[in-house]
Formats: sequence, structure tokens, C-alpha cells
Amino acid sequence: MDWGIAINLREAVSEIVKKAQIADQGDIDNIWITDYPATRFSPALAAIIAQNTEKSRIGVGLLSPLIYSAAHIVQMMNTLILTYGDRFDLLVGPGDRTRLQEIGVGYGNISTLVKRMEESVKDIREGLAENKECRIFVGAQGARMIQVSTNSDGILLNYSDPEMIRWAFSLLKNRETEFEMGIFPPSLIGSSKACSEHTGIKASAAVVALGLNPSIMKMFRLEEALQPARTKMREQGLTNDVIEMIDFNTLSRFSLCGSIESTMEYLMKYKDLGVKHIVFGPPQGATVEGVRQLVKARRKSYNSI
Amino acid sequence: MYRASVGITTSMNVSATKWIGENAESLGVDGIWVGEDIGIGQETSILVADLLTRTNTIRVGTGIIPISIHNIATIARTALTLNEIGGGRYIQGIGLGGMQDLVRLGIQLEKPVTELRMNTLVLRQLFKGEVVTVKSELMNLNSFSLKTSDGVNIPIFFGVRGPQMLKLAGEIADGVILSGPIDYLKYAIDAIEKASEGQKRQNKIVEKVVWLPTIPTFKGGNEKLAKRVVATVIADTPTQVLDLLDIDRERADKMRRVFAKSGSKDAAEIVNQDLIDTFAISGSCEHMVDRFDIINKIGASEVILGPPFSGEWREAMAEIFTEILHRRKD
Repeated sequence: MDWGIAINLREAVSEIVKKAQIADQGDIDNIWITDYPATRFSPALAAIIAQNTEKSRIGVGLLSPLIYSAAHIVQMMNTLILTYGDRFDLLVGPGDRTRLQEIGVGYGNISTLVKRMEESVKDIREGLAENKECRIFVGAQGARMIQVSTNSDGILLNYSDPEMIRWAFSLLKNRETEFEMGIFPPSLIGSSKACSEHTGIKASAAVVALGLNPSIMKMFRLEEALQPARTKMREQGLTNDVIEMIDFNTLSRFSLCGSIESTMEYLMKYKDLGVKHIVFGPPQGATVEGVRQLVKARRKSYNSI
Repeated sequence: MYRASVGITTSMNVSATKWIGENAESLGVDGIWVGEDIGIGQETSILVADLLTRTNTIRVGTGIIPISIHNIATIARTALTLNEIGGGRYIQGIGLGGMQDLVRLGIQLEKPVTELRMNTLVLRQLFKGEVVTVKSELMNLNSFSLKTSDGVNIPIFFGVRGPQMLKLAGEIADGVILSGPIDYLKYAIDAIEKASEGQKRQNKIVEKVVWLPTIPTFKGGNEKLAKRVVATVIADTPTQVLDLLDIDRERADKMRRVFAKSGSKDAAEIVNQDLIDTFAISGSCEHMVDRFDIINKIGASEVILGPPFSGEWREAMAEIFTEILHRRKD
């Protein structure tokens, strides 16, 4: 299984580079540089990370085709590859609706959103056809976006619950043989603090849970657990009160948190499900210590995962 | 004395831009400006990031990024990132975009001057760390901020030409990137200075940067390429600016019609030596630096060399900067 880490872009560039170097030297396979709503621009930071690392592949995104045209995304990836070598991957998806609204970008006609994403993925794939090593992943959650991902090189789901992952992968029967199934859940492994008391992992898990596609919410019987918090969030945004309205067991279905040892057990389950690529999402990469803990886990995993 | 910089565009190949980044400081270059050829070649912010990391002391700026095709939040986020990468050496050049590009993309603004003013003020607010809500022809921000606690001071330069835009630049820009014949440059610099007088500005002096196509024929510069560049410049020059010039207007208008119909290659056939001499700097090394001196005397604080780059352009660039440094010592 390929291991990746999402580097938080809130800190200074020097700290971002330091984290990337620790991951690179610690045999983390992929360093993902997330974009909006981060306030830094990920393709420029991907350039700096490429200059300061040697082995890891560098993932750019999630980049939203609603913010950048497919042609612009192709231009970004081609420039990175031409300048720094063929070690870049891409993650595309619509992005968080509420945060997009802050910059005047809307989903538009919702009934055509998936179709538009599909067209963007096709255009990007065509534009990057000559760069064989560059994998294009689709960030997906619901059934229709999962289907769209079959036009790409892989999928990254943002939940961690094995039941939900099994369901999502069951929709990918028409995938190409090289297609990579992966997950990108909020993560925190190796922290000394109990997961139920860690605000960062709970907040990240809540963002995914509360943004859940209604049909999935219904399918996995999560309406009762999430609807009150969703209603409250519409009134006051994502506050601590809203997060605390969701019970910890529900949040755990959307995050990966615990000791290195317990995480290994989870990773074995994922491997059995067919997960080939795991990206440890925020808040794992929010601190240098978080990156170090992931490297430690990676080293422990060598003989098994 | 003036600053002397190098101009490049995103359509140049990676080996050329890398060479410039790696050699600029040893050549004595004061800055590098990156012009965005919309949708063509290298991605602007990645190219700028690369140049900032290949240099240590000189300024690197965009000349320019068109606000008409990028989300203002993306421009602000990119500027914040590049400013940090360069340790404060980044300059944010903005403009509406070349006339031909806007026509091609079907972009038409009702109030371009107002839009550039608003976009500039919003960028400044965002750089300060303020939360901004604004709606205009190009912008739609709803409680957006860069979440910078300290705020950053990133100079904003305009790439503009027309009289109202020059006035606006004098009022609010930190600098202006100008292009055009000497007569026009005199007019533009005068307009900017008049507009800047009496303004309550943070920077009292508006920097005037002149960027003309440069064709060092002494090192085998490609004349056909030069003509295509000059054709593009003339096609992009507003009519009211052409009206100010003592040029063969019939030829210039014919060239613009051909450009609009079939592009720069055919239009270049109509460009003659007079138009090259008016809209570009070409000739021997000494002659080219003489022209830079003249541009400095009329009020420019910085001149930009190139493109187009053809022939033995690396050697030509080295000779020109050697000559500029030699004259500085004198």
C-alpha cells in the first residue's frame, strides 16, 4: 500500500518544506499539497517542495475545476513535470461548496455538476496524456462521482469506515486494471492525546461528515446522528458546539485516529478491501510531530503493509 | 541611474527561463518580469516561484497577470505564497489583459477602469489580512480573507496604456509597466506624475518600468520573429495611444486589420523597419543601451530587456548588461 500525507498549508513556507523533507526522508511515498480553501496556492508550493525533496512523489490538490479551468490545471501539471521531472500526481474534485461560495464560485446547476466534472477529468487526462507517470485521482464520495472516477487513474474517498469503503469500491466494477482505489480520511495517528479529546481530528471528521451526500447519509443510517448538527451548522457555521453535537462513534467513521499499533490493524482491513493508496489527511500533517509519527508508523509497517 | 531587468514570457521554454534564473544575478540584472501569455506555455506562478528560488536578491514580478481571467482570491493567494517564497522580493503586476486576448476570450468589461481600481483595493485589503465582501463585474467575495495575522506589503504594479488607466495608476499603483514609442512614453510618464501629485499615497513615487521588445541584431536576432512581436504590440495598442504618435498610420491600421483577421504571422509581413524602430529597441549593443539611457532620461526608473530572444541571445544579454554596468561606473 502506498502511504501519503497531506501537508497543511497554514504554516510558513519554511515549515511546509521541513515537513515535506521529513516525509521524504521517512519513505512516505506521496506528499499531497492541498489547495483552496488553504490560503496558499498549492502548485507554487509543489515547485518548492520538488526542489527540496528527492524521492517522494508530490500530489497537487485537491484542485477544483470550478476554480481553475481544465486547461489551466493541465498547464500547471505540465510546467511542474517539465521543470522538476515526472514525479507529480493530481487530485481533482468539485471542492467544498460553502468555501467555494466565499470566493464567488458556485456549483451551478447541480444536475449537471457530475457531468461537468466528468468532462473536466477527460480534458485533463487528454492534456496530460504524454506524462504517463502522472496519476490523476478523483476525490469522490457519492455514487455518481465514484462512477466518474473510472475515467481517471484512481479514486480517493474521504471516509474511513470499512463498510462505506466496501460499498464505494463495489461501484467500480468497470475500472481499468491499473486503476488505484484509495482513501484520504482525516487522520491522527501516534498522538499522545486521546482521539475523543482532540479538537483537530474531530473538526476535520465533522467537516467530512456534515458535507456528506444525503443519499449516502440515508444509505448508512446516519441521518439521525448528523441531521441536528447539520441544521445547527446552517445557522451558525462549523462551531465547536456543532462538532460536539455529533457523537464520537459517528465521527470515527470519517477519520482514522489512534495509536500506531491500532492503526496497523485498520490498515490491514483496508488492504483486504483493496485499498492501494492511503493519504493521511489533516490534522496529521498539521504539525512536524504529526509527520514524524507517521514516519514512525511507516517504518513499523514495512513487513506487513 | 536606472534599474535594468530582463523580461520573459510564459511561452518561453523551460531551459531558457532556467538559464535566465540561474544567471541573472551574475549578469548584474536587477529584476525579472514574467509576462503571462494567456493559456500558453509555462504556468505563471510556478515559473515565478522557480525564478524566486534560483535568485537571492533581485526582484521578480509578474508583468502582468490579467485580472479578467483569474479569480481575485486566486491572485491574492498566489501573491501571498510567492511573496513568502521570495522573502519579500515579489511584485504583483496586474492589468486587464491584452486587447487581442480579451477579444479572443469574449471578455468585455463595462467599466474597466473602475474594475481595476476595485480589484487593486481589494488585493490591498486582503494583503492586510482583512475580511472582504465585494461584488463587481469580475469579483464576488463573501467574507473571504487570507487569514494572515500580520499582513503583508506586496507592491502592486499596473500594466496599462490608455489615458484613464494611466491616471488611475498615478493615483493608486506602486508602479507602472509601460510599453510603446518614446513619444508615448513621455506622455504616459507625464500623465502618471500629474495624477500622483497631491495623492495621499503610501509610496510617494510611482515606479515607471518600460518594457519594449528588444532585438539585438548584433548577435543574429531573428528579424521575422521581431516583426511578429512588433505586430502584436501594435495590435494591442489602444487607438487613442496610436493617435498620439507620428507614425505611418495607414500602414499601422492595415497591419491591425490583418492581425485581427489572420494573426501575427501575416501581420508581420506589413511591419517595416520604421515600425520596428518605433515600437522596439534593436541594433548594436551600444545603440540599444543608448536607447535605454534616453528612456531613463524621460523619467523611467527601470528598463526591461526582451523578449523576443533569438540568435545568440544569451551572449547578447551578457554584453548588454556589461555595457549597462560599465556606464553605471562612469
